[in-house]
Amino acid sequence: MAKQAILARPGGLMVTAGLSIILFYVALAVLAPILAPYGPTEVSVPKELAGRPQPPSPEHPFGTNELGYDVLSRIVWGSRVVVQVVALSAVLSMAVGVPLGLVSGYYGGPVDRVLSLVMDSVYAFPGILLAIAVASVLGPSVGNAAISLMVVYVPTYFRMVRARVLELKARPLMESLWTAGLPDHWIILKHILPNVAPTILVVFGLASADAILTEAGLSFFGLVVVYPEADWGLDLYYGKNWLLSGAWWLTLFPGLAITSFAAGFALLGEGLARMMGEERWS
Amino acid sequence: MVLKIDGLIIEYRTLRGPLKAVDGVSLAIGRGEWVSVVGESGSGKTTLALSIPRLLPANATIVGGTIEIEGVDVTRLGEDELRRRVRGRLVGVVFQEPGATLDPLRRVGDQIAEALMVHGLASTKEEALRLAGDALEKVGVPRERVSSYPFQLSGGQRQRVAIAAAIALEPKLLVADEPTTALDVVVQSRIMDLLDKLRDDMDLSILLVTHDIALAAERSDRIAVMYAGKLAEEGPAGEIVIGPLHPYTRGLLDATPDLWGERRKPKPIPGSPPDLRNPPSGCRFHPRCPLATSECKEREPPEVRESSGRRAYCFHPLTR
Amino acid sequence: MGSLARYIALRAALIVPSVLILYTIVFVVLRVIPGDPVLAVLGTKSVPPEELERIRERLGLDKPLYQQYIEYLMGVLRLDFGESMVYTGRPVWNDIADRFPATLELAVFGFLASVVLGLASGVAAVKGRGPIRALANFYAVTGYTLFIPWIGLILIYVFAVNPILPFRLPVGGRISPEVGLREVTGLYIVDSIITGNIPALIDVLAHLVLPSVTLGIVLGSAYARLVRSHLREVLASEIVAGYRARGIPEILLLRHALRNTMVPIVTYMGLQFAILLGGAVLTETTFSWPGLGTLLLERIELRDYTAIQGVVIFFAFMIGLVSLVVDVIYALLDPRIRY
Repeated sequence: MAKQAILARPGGLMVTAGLSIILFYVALAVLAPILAPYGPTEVSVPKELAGRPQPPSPEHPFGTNELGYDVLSRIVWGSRVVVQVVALSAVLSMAVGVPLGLVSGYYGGPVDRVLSLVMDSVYAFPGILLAIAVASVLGPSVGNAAISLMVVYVPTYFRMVRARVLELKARPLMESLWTAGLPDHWIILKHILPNVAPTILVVFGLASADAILTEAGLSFFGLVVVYPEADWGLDLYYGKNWLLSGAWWLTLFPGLAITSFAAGFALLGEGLARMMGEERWS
Repeated sequence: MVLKIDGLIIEYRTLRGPLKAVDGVSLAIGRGEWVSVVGESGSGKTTLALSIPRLLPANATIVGGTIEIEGVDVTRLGEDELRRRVRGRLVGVVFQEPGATLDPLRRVGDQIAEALMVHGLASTKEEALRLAGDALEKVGVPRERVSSYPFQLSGGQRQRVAIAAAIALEPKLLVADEPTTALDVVVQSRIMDLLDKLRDDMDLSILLVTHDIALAAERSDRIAVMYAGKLAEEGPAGEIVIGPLHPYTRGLLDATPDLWGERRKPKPIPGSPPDLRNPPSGCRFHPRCPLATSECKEREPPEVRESSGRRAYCFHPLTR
Repeated sequence: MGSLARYIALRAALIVPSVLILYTIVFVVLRVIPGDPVLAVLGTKSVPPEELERIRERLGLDKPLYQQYIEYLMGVLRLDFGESMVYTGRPVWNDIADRFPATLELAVFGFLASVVLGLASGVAAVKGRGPIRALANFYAVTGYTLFIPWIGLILIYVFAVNPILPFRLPVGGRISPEVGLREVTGLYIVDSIITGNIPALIDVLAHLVLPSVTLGIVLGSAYARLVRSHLREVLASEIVAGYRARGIPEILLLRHALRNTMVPIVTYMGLQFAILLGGAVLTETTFSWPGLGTLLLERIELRDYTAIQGVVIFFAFMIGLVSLVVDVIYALLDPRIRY
């Protein structure tokens, strides 16, 4: 196969755009102390201006809220929460969903049937509701939010991985591996997993896009961090009280951050899927 | 003449450059006449056939020549006129998998009746359904089948219904693009019998596209052999099969296992058809031709005509 | 019709295990994980132990878990979702029954908006030209990443705070307080029609516009994607080639192609309904819509576990019911399905 520039391949532009957006927000999270002009809860306006949100100005390009907090700085700081929750939940969901999908798909049998039924049922339930139910029991924290998201996205990884394993099992190569008497764990790790890896990558992109939105929903419900800690969804929730008096900047910018970050992952997943010649994965 | 194609050139735009799928082909079909276009895949025979009702994909353009049906040059017509005057009305089409052209979600009668109504051949739904029933009877399907869904029909019935849909508007010409490729010999021969019967009943002209020269010889009045977008040879079916003029036709015949039921060992033509983005110079068949000389490489072959109306394009026509 | 009834019964039987599994998961999450819910809610206050014991007994939390599991399930089948842990003596079902019509009305209109938007942009992504086509394609790929409250708030700003239309659209609640409406079904559209109350009907519809469009924009992109890919497939199929060869006008052709496209899409609507309910929860909080979503948010703040459990399980049953309805619609739409 000829090596082609990534941009020239189908989906290449989407992957590049998606990765750029993701890296931008990850860099924002890592470098927040350097990049953020103000602290997340620093009163950054003169005393006489506090009490009312102030519109964007040269010193505060995204404006300030009624407490005098700088909206841009809160978005920069808030990226830390989102990036942590989404990264942690992706690792957890993969750690559970991928092995289960591999084993369940490879061995089949009654365990596979029951597991599939359970996973399908959870998958069919609205993710945000399930996450809310779990998070409301566990209480607001980054770790708990990640666990709530894990419950939602394990079935996504499981289903995709299992489906791919079933495809691979139907290949003639498998026959020869079995006749060669190779142990199952060897076949799974050396032959199936490498072929499932691209699928996992695609699912990672698409599930993470969804996870960002679910995280924002949890945050909107006050189930990730407690105000005044900075988190995009929570800022949006508190910002909406000021929208009717015209303070659009309190909601526009946090929402834009949520949607653009999610779009980054969506583009990555979609682009990867196209590279692998799949039109639809969901 | 029902159909008169003259100097037709069709070009496809492709990612790796343009290609001429049909390059200067002329062909005519008279009323009630059956002409078969024969060639390997990639010879341009399907492109030629589908250009008549102007059903080519969007990346194909007719860059030269004319196609006259009943005196109307369809290369000059716009989409709307093609739809109203030509498709279904002057030319009916039977595709490669005829049964697959039926809409699985609608009763077959409704599908045929719809075409009758949009072309103004029936003014009420009842009349249209009655005519649709007539069309079904013409192809040997009971008229009650108008109210069946395609999935309720057998495979053979679906093919017949698709043919009924193609002839329901009583076109002058039926274009059939390898309608029986996927079928076994018995079904194939039944479908061919049906086309023959329709030709007699309706005074229909038929243009059959096939890669099977034995089938063409058995059924058609005349055969046109295409190679790499050009006409190699054309003439009365019997004459062509008994004494081909073009070495390519000879090759096709030798590659056929059972001409007139006589079993023999097929001898395939060596080599493969050329890439039409970069066709060979001179006669396009020369790289595979056993008789090729330097002349064939350099110049376009001349037309060889016989009194019977046969023609071939070759420097070294075979003699009987 | 007898065979249709049998078909429905068969589909229903297949949905039961799914709903039971969800019930079990929710039960485990909300009853087992918190340990003692009563303690979790009231533990921080200084409530005497005998008082806690009394509450446990009243809520049935003193019984063994398996017994709670079965009794709660039996209750749900009789529409008994237990009692609120916060509002003493108040059945959870009362709140659900009170709020559900609002959510249903929003879900139905949001669904309609999403289908209209999704179909239109899916067709535009295939048949449109220039910038419209590009926009439709972009929407089809990334539209679902729009955060619902964000889109809702943008619409509020554009149509109510700083309206681009000559009037302001309502942004909160289901009906203006000054408009009187006699409640019959709780579905305000239906109520205003059956009581012949035209001003109320207009007011209720006006209240529905922004929340439904919000849901429609976000959820429509999934349909746009599906319509786009299936329509492309159908347009390239022999079916359409056959229609075209018969001289059928493009507009009819597109109609037949769309009908063929709808078959796989209706299947998807069952799954989409679940996402719709999830989206409705966020939409309700954005538009102060007095439905199950706002009920959920209120009770989360009060840590009213029995209410949360009731709402979530109610959703599970609703989703099961809708997927059954979708199966039946699918069977009626596609003559190939024999029931």
